[in-house]
Amino acid sequence: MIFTSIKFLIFFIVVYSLYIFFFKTKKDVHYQNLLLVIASYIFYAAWNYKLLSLILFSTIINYLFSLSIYKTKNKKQKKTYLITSITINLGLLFFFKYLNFGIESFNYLMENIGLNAHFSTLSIILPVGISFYTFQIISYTVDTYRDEIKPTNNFVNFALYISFFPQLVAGPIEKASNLLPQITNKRNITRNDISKGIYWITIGYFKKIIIADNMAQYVEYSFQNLESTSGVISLLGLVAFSLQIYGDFAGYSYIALGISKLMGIDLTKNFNRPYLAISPRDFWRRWHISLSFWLRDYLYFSFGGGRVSNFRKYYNLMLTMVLGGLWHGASWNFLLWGWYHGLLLIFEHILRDYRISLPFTLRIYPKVKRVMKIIAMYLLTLIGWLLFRLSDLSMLPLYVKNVFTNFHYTDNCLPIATPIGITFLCLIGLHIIQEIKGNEMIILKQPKEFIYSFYTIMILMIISVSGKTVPFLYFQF
Amino acid sequence: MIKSIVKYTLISVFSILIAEGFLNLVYSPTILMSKWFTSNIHTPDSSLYYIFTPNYRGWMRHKDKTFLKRLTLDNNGFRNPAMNSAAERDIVLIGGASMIFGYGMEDSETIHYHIKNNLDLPSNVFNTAWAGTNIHRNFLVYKRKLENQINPKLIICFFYGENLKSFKEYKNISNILREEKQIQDTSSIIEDKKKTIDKLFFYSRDQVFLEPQYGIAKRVGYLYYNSIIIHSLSNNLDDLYFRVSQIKKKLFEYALTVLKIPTDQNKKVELNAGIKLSDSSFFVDYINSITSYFEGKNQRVLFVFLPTPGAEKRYYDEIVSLMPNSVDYIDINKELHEKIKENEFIAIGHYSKKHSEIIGKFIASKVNSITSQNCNGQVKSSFSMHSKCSRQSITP
Repeated sequence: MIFTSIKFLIFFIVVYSLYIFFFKTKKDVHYQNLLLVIASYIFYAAWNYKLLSLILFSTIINYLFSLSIYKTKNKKQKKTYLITSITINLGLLFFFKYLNFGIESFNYLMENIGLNAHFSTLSIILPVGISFYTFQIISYTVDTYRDEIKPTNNFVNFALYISFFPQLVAGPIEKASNLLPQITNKRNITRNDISKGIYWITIGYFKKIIIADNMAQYVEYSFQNLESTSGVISLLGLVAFSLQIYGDFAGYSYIALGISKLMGIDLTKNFNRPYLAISPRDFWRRWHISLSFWLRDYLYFSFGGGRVSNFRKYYNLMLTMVLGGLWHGASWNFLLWGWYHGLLLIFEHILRDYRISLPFTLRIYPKVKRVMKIIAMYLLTLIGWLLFRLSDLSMLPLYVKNVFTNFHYTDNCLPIATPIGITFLCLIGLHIIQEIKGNEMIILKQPKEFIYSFYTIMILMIISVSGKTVPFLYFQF
Repeated sequence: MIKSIVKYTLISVFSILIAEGFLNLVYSPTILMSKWFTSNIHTPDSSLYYIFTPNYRGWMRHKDKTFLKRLTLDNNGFRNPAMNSAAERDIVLIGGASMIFGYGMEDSETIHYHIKNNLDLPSNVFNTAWAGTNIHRNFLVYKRKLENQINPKLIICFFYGENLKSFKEYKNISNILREEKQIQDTSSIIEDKKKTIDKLFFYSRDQVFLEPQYGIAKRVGYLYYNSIIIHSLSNNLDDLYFRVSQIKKKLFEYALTVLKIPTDQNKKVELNAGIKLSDSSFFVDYINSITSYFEGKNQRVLFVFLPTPGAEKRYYDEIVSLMPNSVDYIDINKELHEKIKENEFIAIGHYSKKHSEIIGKFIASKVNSITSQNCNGQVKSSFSMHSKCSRQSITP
């Protein structure tokens, strides 16, 4: 049941109507939470009802473990519970997501060193959202262990924290310190919440349907026809992919944000104009923010973070980013993508740690310097997206060759360049205005006539174009 | 109050224009409107319903669904790239719809191209097939556009997904062969929609864009073709109306079943069962009439049954089994079943270069074998040859 389907619309209308109805009851929070848990499980079961037992198992196990961690005074015992809980969670994640990748890689390695060991892969369904809710569960138990939060006794509240449907299948990965109090305490929905919620939902649908789904066809065309198209098309396809993946993921996140806001719940903002980043570090403060912070708080800091020698810091960074890449999928290209971003971060840290300035940037007007940095970072991000998109890495040399040796104009360049170029300029233009004004909701600050026009344009475009429901890209993670 | 109404009306109009402009810039209207081709490929025609626009230049949809396959039509609206100046004879391809048209394929990838390039005798092979067009409409187009310009030795008639019932409309075949007659769409889904949808709503046949026949669409005309918003909104309303009607229809039928009242559906089945044999005779009449028509002009006819997938496969099997012994035909399904699997059928002539080549070369080899046969030769199996001496030779 994806957000852009009629089925979800009907589901949400029913759930939301009941949710509002329960405001009138005495135990409104209790009934609302129960309703949301049931709705969340229905939402998840709509993907695959058999895998409902998996999320239920994870919920029960971790509920018990986190309470045990909290109640135990013995530090060694606490650690044992923590390690067991993390092992079970990562074990499940490994089994469903990485086992076949491990087997295939092992077989490949054996083959290449001349050994005749061949293990068969298993027929395993990847549960939707497993990467997201597993990380969320781990953050909960670790925060409990670190005494940063007090775990909840209420199983329904805990179950809702894990399975809250707007963020269940594609994030944001919520910290318990943010989401749990909102679940436990009484909620109020103000006019401002409704206004923001509707705005975010509209923006989310626009990014998904108008940007991502449209760019998808050009991405598909350029990457499927590397041998027969020009380098210009290949490059345009990569730009289209940067728009597609942003529109898809940010679109989903904004819809999740908006739906939650309508219920009086604030989720973490997951995107903050990532293509205006001026450095790799800035990029990771703007792209998939919840994952970035999770990696920092639960991996990077656990490895020692930056409070070690420079070499050790760079090693921690690389390890964190490689694991972050692998989180996206059981495939070498994701690992390479993570490694690439690790390299960029290390390079930035080296420049900072050793106070190196790139000579050609020394005497440039600051605003111009900022623009150059944004362009440079976008180009570096594009290289990363190339690694991300190419599931078959053997196509990488072909792509590079196509761009550098076959870069010429063909009949179909303009029909492809026009929509991609206009989409890119509109998106970046809007982001620049938001960045300058320092306000993402700048549209809602305008006169009501402007707001009316904005919503009319958005709704007309979304209805006109929403014919097919294309799955969100990040669901596969 | 009035001032407010006027203000918001103007804002609404302005917003619609902005939305329309933006969508037209970033979207291919043809993809959004689920068309097969870019605009203006169809020109309405009073007797043929529509024709393909002569000298058309546009795009077709690639298999990745982007509109990036160049399409050029000649001054007759046919897809015939450069003619062979050293040709010693003419051959005409009729029927086969999108498969023989080569939808989604470059000129050098079509079945037509491979037939032409694998003939022993240099020939001009005229492809008169149009996507979305049945064999008889195609035949009438050939009659109008090409018949008087050339004297082909061989006519290859392709059947692709033809419905046995559709041959009923050709019952006065001799008249139709002499004069054009408006061909009605006989697709059952569209018939259903036509009956269900009031004159208020819009109508378009599958993904081939034709002149809307009813209501607002006929009046707005240009806007319906060229406005993404108006087209989408009308289609959404169209679909919603159709779905609601289908639900009402199903509920009504269910109620009738529960109450055990005989329905039209049951009667229809009996009627259909009653005229089954007649459907066959219409088809056989058609085959014999077409054959006689061309043989009367000293032109040889070869029928080819193209692989047809899914639900339409049973029609294919039905009509192959009804082929009279006196005509020449090729059953591609039977002949090439080892090289082409059923799940590859839709790809042939549309997106698969490999299969187009296989079929094109195969048909060419059969044509070559007709050329090389003497009066007493006979090819076995499904490619049946009869009375070679009395049949018109296809050599110059």
